Amino acid sequence: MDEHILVCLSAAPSNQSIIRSGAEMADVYHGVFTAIFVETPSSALLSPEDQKRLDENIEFARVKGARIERTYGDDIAHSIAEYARLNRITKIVIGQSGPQTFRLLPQKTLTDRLMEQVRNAAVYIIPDPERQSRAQRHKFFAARGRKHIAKDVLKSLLALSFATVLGFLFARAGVSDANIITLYILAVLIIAVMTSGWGFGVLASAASVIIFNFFFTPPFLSFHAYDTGYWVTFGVMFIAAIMTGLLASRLKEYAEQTAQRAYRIRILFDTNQLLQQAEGEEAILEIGGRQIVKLIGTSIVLYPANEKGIGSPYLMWPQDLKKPLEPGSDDKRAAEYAWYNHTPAGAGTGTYPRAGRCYLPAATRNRVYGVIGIPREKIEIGSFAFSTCNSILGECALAAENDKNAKEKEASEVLARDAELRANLLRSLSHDLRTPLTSIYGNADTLLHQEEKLTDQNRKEIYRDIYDDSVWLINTAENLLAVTRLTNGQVKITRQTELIDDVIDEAIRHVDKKIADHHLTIKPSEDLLLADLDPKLMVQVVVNLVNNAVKYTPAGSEIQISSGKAGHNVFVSVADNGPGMSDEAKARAFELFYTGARKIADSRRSLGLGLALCKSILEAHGGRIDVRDNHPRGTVFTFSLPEKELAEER
Amino acid sequence: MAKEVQILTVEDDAPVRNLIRTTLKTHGYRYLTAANGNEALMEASSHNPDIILLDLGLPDLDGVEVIKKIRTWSNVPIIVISARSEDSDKIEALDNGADDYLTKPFSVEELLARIRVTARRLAFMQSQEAEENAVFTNGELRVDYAAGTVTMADTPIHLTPNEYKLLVMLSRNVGKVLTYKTITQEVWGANWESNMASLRVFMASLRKKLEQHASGDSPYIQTHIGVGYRMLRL
Repeated sequence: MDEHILVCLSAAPSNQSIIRSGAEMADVYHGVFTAIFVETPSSALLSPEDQKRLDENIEFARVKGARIERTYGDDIAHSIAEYARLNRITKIVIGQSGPQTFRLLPQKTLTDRLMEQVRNAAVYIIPDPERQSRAQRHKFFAARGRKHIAKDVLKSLLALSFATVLGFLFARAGVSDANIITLYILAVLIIAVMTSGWGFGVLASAASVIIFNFFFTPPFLSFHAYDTGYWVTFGVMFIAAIMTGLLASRLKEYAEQTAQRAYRIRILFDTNQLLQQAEGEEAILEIGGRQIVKLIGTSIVLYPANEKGIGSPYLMWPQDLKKPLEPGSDDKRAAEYAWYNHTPAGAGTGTYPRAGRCYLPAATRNRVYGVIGIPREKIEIGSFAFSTCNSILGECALAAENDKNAKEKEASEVLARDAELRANLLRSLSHDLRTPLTSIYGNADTLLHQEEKLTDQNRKEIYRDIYDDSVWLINTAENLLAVTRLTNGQVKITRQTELIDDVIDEAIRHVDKKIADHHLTIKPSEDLLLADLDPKLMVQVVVNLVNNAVKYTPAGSEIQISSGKAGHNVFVSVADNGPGMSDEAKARAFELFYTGARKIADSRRSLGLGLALCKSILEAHGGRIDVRDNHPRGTVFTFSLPEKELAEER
Repeated sequence: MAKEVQILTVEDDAPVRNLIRTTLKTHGYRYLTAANGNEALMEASSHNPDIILLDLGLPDLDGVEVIKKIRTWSNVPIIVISARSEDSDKIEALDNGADDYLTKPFSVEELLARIRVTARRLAFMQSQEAEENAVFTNGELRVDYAAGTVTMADTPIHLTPNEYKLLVMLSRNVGKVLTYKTITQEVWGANWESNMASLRVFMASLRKKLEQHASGDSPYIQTHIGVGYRMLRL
């Protein structure tokens, strides 16, 4: 298996040594080298010098021969693990994570979590000599946009005012200060839970101490306190409030993450289940599209793609919405860009930002299977929905690739089976053709060299034998030709509409001349029966069935050919009143090279080709063939195939 | 009767050529042989045979090419002999001017039957050249092209316009195998493949109407499955 080495890009100055290690490794293993940068929501907050260093690191990786990939996700470890799984990465090179920043709850480092999530790749951790303590950016005000902040400020003010009003009521009722402090701690708790980030909790803690001081400690309505004991109270209150706030916001963050993860896992799980049942690229893409529609509850546009480019788009939208607008030319260009570069494009990205939608490719390392466009307003790069969409698309691409591989494998197996069949056929043929050839050869030799010694009677017998043997060879050759036409795969059956009666008439002209010793009756149907069929092959089916009846029944037996209609099928039966077949012979009659234990009237060996061929021919026509007992005795072979409905136009 | 008929056999395989020659000789036909396409063209132009038996697989020229060349100067009936089991080869030969076909391996009887059918067609063609063919008669069948009437054993037969068109086309080419494509293009115009089912139905009902009133058993119209139809000269 080919090695595929992945290095993780970051803005750290030490990142270049990691890239260098990866490049050396790729060189040693003669493997593919990819560098990945996971964009997170906080990537936007990088300082200009960090951004510059990141760009330098990316350029450095490119110079070292890496293919640059960008993915988006809020969880770096998960994104890397996902990418590694989808692209069959064998080795991941990553720098050692920086020291823990101040956290109330222990959190594992990126490397630890990566080790946990990566399944099939080796993870190499390069120690970071500078070990720069790059504090991870905290979500001081995680909420983006002024609107959110305004809302959070409002919430905080409301909670604090409410606590203050209650505090006054308490104070009037003579409840002790301690209870009022508890009220404020409660307010801080509520603020921490209701607002995003932990900044409001901290600010509220400070604010509550100040407000408490202002309103409830003598001198009232001033920031002074007479009793120095109160300063201790303020300190304890502040610490308690801040701890409560931090804890609450951390817990809230955890709960949110867990809920998001659970939702994402459920959608991915559903997708996985659906994909397992899907066959064919189109079906797989459609499932991906439907799951994304379900996930974000909006319309999407889906461009199927192959190696040559993207196909014509089709729209998918939730049932309760109206049909969305068709994509425009900017959309098409964005989708093409996404197809060509294996990266997102369109609205919200740097390429074709004027497109109405953001285009994400469903890609494996080898190929893009489709591009899905999501309306701009419904998705934000790096958001939770965004990374889930990417995961779904990754699953789809993987499923499509597996599907393609399975089909290729199946095709090669069919080829192998064909080869085996042909080999068997040749073996069997070279053996069985010798018998009639020996007889023709010997008989002709006798006629050539010893004709004068033969009586008229002898000579007649020899002529008859030569004739019979050559007829057998002719029939066998016809069957063999039909077999090669069917198994070659190159010559497809050529169907045309034919009358069943014409097929039977033609077949009668080609059956064994010994039919003259049997009583043949033909019972045609009252209706005109039409079917789409390959005339040559279908005639061969009837010939084989009649010849079998002739061969396996004693002279003077009845052979009846009848045809008719059953539902949407037409059928033809060839019945005889000969000795019949055992149950075992009936069960195996259509196996290739099964010659059965039946007594052959003319003692000629059979190749066991005829009925197997009939079965293959009917299967190729979407029909079937069966054998059953005739009453009171004998055998009936019946084949049926779909009737051709005649369009009324006369 | 047929003793005067001269037949050119074009076949590269010596044993088969011998077989055909012996058969023709024993049945009193005059014969010529050629072993390849160029020889065939030479013999055909210098001796003006009455019938040509032409193997499609020749060493120098493709059989269909030979037909095309001969058709530039002669209407001599050509019966193609094809070892290829693919119908498309026969159809190509027929569409390029061959009259009939025979598939290898064939029996001597089959060969003689084809020659008889073609000889009758030849006799008919020669007799028709003299008179203006406003009326066609074949056994008990009588088609009056001018009046547009058809009778079988003096019983008038009522045909639909399409059935009549088919009958006229077959009778004007009596003895010749007409491919589906030729027939449907003539009767329906373009898009012939979609009319295959209709052709089957019209042909079946036409035959039924003809045979209902015919006193003999022999069919007037032969089906060559996978290839086409032919009206037999009785």
